[in-house]
Parts: sequence; structure tokens; C-alpha cells
Amino acid sequence: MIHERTSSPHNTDAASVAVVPSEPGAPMTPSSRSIRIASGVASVGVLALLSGCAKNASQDTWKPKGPDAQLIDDVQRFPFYAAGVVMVLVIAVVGYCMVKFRDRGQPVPAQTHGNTKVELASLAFSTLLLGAVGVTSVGAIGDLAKTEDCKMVVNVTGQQWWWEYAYPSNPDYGINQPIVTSGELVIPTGECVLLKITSRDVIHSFWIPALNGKRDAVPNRVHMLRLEADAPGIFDGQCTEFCGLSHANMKMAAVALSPAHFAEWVAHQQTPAAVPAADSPERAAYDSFTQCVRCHQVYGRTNVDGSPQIAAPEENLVSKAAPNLTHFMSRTTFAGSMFDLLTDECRTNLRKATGDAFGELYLAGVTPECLNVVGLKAWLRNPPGVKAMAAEEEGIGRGMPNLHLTEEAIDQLVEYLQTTSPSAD
Amino acid sequence: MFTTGSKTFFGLAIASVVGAMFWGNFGQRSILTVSLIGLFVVFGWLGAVASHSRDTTVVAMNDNAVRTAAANADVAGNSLWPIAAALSGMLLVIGLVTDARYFIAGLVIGIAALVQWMIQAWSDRASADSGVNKSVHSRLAHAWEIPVASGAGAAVIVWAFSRIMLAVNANMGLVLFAGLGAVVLVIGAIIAWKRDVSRTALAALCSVAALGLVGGGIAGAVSGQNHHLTEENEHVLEYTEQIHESGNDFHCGEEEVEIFDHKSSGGVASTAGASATFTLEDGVLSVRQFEGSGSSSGPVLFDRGATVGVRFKNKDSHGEHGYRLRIDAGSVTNEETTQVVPTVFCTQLIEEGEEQYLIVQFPHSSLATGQRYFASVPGVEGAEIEIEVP
Repeated sequence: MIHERTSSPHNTDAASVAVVPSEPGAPMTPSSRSIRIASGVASVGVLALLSGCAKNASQDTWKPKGPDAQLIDDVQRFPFYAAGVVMVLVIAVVGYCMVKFRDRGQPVPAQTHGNTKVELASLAFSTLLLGAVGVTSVGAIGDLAKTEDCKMVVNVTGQQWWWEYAYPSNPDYGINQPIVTSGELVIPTGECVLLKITSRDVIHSFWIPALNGKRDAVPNRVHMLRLEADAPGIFDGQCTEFCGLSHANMKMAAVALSPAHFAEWVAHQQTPAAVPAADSPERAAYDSFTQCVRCHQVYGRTNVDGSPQIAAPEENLVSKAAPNLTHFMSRTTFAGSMFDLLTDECRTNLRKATGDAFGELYLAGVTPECLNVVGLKAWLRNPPGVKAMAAEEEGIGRGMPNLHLTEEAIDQLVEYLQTTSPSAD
Repeated sequence: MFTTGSKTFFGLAIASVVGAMFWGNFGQRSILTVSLIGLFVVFGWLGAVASHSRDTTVVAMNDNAVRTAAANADVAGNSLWPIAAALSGMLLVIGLVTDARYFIAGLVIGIAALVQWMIQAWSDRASADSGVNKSVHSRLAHAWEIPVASGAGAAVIVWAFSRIMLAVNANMGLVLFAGLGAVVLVIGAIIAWKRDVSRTALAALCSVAALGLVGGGIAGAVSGQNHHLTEENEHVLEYTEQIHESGNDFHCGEEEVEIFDHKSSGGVASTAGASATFTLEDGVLSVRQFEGSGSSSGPVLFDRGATVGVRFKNKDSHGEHGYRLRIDAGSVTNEETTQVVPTVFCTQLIEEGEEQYLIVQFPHSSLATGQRYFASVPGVEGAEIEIEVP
């Protein structure tokens, strides 16, 4: 006989394993093996389920905070639920078949091929389902591609490994000269803001899940993305296109302020940096920053002869750009939004605040009490030590190099940077 | 003395030692030479064992076994592989004398022929049953024949289709792409619906399609790229050469420059992603920041350090030779010569209804330097738009 079932588990000596079920070191019975496997699978499933309960998941794609994200949410929920129902049905049918028709040594039943009614029914069902998904998706894509209803435009430029935001002059919002900032994109609530996204080096991808979908930042190309927030708050994001060594640390945030608070922010951002008198006690700290101007522009800084200090990042960096630090401590993060400028307590207070209270706290900037001095000094002491940076090649680097600053120089830099806070005015 | 099995092993041993000698003389990686010598030893040993044990098979005294032995089986038929091997040898020799490509082709054909020949020689004598031998041959050969043939087929399809798409103009390309896709879809649907379509009809259909595709590809390759693409490339080369010869000595003014102007096709401009579009119409220069936005008189913001693409459209009918867009991005001082060098970019003279894409880069911030950056159209008074570079 050719088809002997010698390898079937049912042909093992079942009696011998049944009498020694749980002796230490004894062979595992089929039932105990099944229980262990089921326990393992259940544990993984429970863990996966519980991971969805994270409270601080600031990049949760299921919690839209603006109309564009809401539109995406509306579109994705139906197929998600439909797919969930289909998945449960399929698993149930497969599970039923696996248990009901499992191999007990019975003869192989008659095989059939095809069932026109079932095939046509499933075809019609799939067509209807996909048709519904297609129609709603195409409509949403069209709505998300609209640009004509946005009065405010912001240039968003990605580079390894941070984002720059440049606001063109726009009298409607009190912007009389360009504003440039990094890490945090500040927008007014209830207003459509149109982002012109590009890149200076490699491909990045801009994504703030609470406000809209993703958009790639491609060198030499401009991609548009609309953004709108319903209420004041900070909305976190993350570069979603692998872009090199510190891709995982290339974060971003959109800060939504009420229109009145946004106007205040705009007014403050257009003020130049203060220049202390040559014989003032603040002058040493001011002068300590001059070496940083090799890459970092600060509007209003002047040389001894009164000429403007002009940054030349193109001589030192592959991306030809470094963050503009004119109002550095009006932001709450630094180094591509990787680190907090605020202490944990102040950060928590800010993020928990709502409405006007949030705006007031944010506009106060980083106060001396709230400054995360330890984090900032660690960064200045050895940037590549706390954030992965690519090594320099022929003097041209990607990211901030280790400048081997002395502790005294670090203290002076921190002192100077604190003068860039709105609370120092 | 030499049984069927031992012949194979001895053959491989000889091939290994020849390879080792060849590579030892001409190659640079000694590891391969050592490996080949190792293979020679192994195959030699296996050959000796097979010869000594008479392939561990038929006992000579058993007449019945001898009659049904694999070695006694009829050879399936003629083989094409010796011819392929000969072709390979010829290409190798020609390649050594003329071109490396012939040599590589000969090498590939030679390896393929060797492998196939070995598989066929072995499978023809695998058993006394020719049917079994055939299935054994298929099982071995198809494992690599099918992937290789699929890859080659895909490469031919891609090559042929790309030649066709490069040869036709943009509109015909769209029609072809959509039309061929639709035809394939319809035929696929018919075949799926009528499952009893004969194999002969299917084979004929596929053959006609393959012939059409390859024929079209060859025709496309012979006729070359369409003039739209080649003209653009030729112009770029021509400009580059002439501008280089002239020492870059033109000044982006309203005057016509013989070596530079009136050669824009506008093809790139119409498809490129521009940071802004400048339009001259009725003597007024306006700018649009993105598709869908309204035109304005500026200012417009560009990023410092980034490569920025702008589009210039001339819709003005007054210029005799057309107009150019000129972008003034301040000046830089040469540290060695202390000479102040203006940073200027400009398009060619663009005739009415035409457009051009211009790539610019702003090395410095207009805000930090206090310099005024602007876009203008030489020869048109007041056609000027402020540029902000933060």
C-alpha cells in the first residue's frame, strides 16, 4: 500500500502518553502542547490589543484635530470596520473548517471545483465594497488637494535631520517681513494653512497625523499640503521617509494658536535680536555666540563695525542650511524637535493647557525656571553624542558637529540663548 | 573501466583542473584556484569510487537487471546542446579578439549549454523508462529554465515597450499605454470567461503579441527617440558648449544673444514642479506661488540654499524677439580679489506663448544681508517683483 499514514500524529502511541501526562521531563501531551501554543498566541494578541490603549500616543492616527484629518478619519473608518468584519468572518470560517473537518484518518471526500453562485456573490460583494471605498476615497483626495481656500502659505523645507518653516510676507496676518523658524510650525486655529514642501538634500516626508496625511519632501520639487487645527495645542509629527542616520530623530510639531495669539507670535518673531552695548555684562555671552554664526543665522546680530553677521552654512553643511536661531527660546524643542527646551513639569503643564491658557503659556517662551539646562548643555557639549550625526567629509557635515566647547563657553552660550526668549524682553 | 557515473565525475574533475590552471594563470583571486583544485580532488575521488563500485548498481550476472538497467536505456533523441556549446566556443574566440560583449555572451551560452547538456545526459539514463527520464529532466531543468526565461522575457518586454514609448510623441504614448492596457485586459477577461480556449489559439495569440511587441521595439530603436526629446538634449549640449566658448559673457539684458536665445521647447517647463510661476502679460509681471493660487505682484519667498525651480511664461505680444526673466540675487564679494560679483540668473528670450523652467539658488539671505533681490523682465518698465530669501 502506497499511502500508509505512518507519519500521522494519530498513529503515535496515544496510550503511553496518556498515562504520564505531567511528570517533570515527561513528553508533552497533545492537549498541554495546544494549551501552551494557545497561551502564547493569546498573550501576543492581548499585548497587541493593549498597545492600542497608550495614553500618550501623540501621533495617534485615530484622533483627528482638524478638518483635513477628520476627512481622512471619516474615509478610513468605513473600510477599517468593513475589513475587520470580513477578517473575522474569514477567520471564523477557516477555524470552523479546521476543527470540523480535521484529519481523523477518514477517507478524502469528493473534491469539487468552483461554485458559480458563491463566486458571483463574492464578486458582487467585493465590487460593491471596493466601489464604496473608491468613491469616498477619490472624493476625499480631491478635497484634500484643494488650495484655493487657503490664504496663508508657509514654505516647509526638510533637511537632515530637521524642518525649517519660512513664512512669506503676508499683510493679512501682519507678516511684514519673512519669518523663519524650525522644529515647530506655528499656525492660527481655524485657518487653512498651505504648506509648500520641499527638501534641501534627500527625500523626507512631512506628517502630522492629527492634522492631515503625509506629503513627501523631494529636492527640486514642491508638494502642497493643507493643514488646519480646530483648537490650540501642540500636534506632534515624524519624518516618515527614511532619510539617513538620524531619521528616527527627525521629529516635528505644529503649534496651533488662537488668531489673537498667533498675531502676537508674528509680531514677536519680526523683532531683531537685541545687541548689548560693548561694555555691558551681557556682551561676553553675546560674543560667545559669534562662532555659531558660521552656520546659524540670527537676525539683528552685528559685528563690531556694525555690519550684519551673516551665516554661511553652505560652507559647512551638505544641506547648506542650519536652523535660524533668532527667537530660539520662543520654541519648546531643539535639535530637530528631538529634545525639550522645557523641564518635564513645564512641558506637561504646557501640553495639558487648553484654549487661551495654552496660548499664553506658549507665548511666554522658555522662562529661566522652565529651561531644561541639563539637556541643552548636554547638546552643546557633544551634539553627535546625543543625536546620531554623519561624520564630516572634507569639512562638510550633516548635522551639528562637536565643537569641543569648554564648560565656560557652554555656560555663556546658554546665557545668550536665554536672551532669545520672549520672557527676556 | 569507466561507468556512466564515473564518466560524469571524471569529466567534472578534468573541467575543475582546467579551470584551476586557467584561473591560476589569468585570475587574481587565488581562493577560486584553490577551490577548483579542491573540486578536482573531490570529483576525482568520486569518479574513482563510482568506477570501482560499478556505479553501485546493476549486478552483471543478473541478466534481467542488465536489460532494465538505466545504462541500457535508449537515448531520448538528438541533443542541441553540442551545437550551443560550439556556438559558445566560437563566441568566446571572437570575443577574445574583438569585443568583450561577445566573450560574455559566449560564456553565458557556454555555461547554460554545459548545465543543460549534463542534465540531459544524466536524465536520459536515469532509468530504463523514457517517461520517467523525461519527467526527471523537467524537474531538474525547469527549476532554472523557467526563472531565467521569465527574466529574459520581462527584459525583452521592458526593452521593446520602452523603445516604442521613446519613439512616439507624448500624445501617442498616452494612447498606446491606455490602449494596450485595455486590449490586454479585454483579452484576459475573454480568456478567463471562455476557459475552453484552445492552447493552440492561445499560443498563436501570444506569439502574435510577442512578435508585435518585439517588432515595434526594434522599429522604435531603429527610428530613435522622438525629436521632442532629442532636440531638447541637443540644445542643452549646444548651449553648454557655446556658452563655455564665449566665456559666459552675456548679461541677461533685453538684447538678443545669438548663442543663447530662442531655443526653448518649453517641454521641461510644462512638467516640472516649480516653486513659483512668473507670467508676463500686457506689460505686467505677476507671480503665482503654486497651481491654483491667484496671481499677485509679489513679494515671493524662496528658500536659501535650496535648489529652486521657477517657471517663466511669456503671454505678452509686444516684444519683437520675446522677453526673458532675470533674477537678481544680490552680490557676493570674492575674498581673494575683493571683486563684487553680482548673482544673476536668467532665462532665454521667450517668445509669446512659450515658457521656460529656470533653476536658481540663493546662497545668502536677503533679510540678513539687507540686499534687495528681485525678478524682472529687461525691457519692460515696472515689470519687477520682490524676492524674499530668509
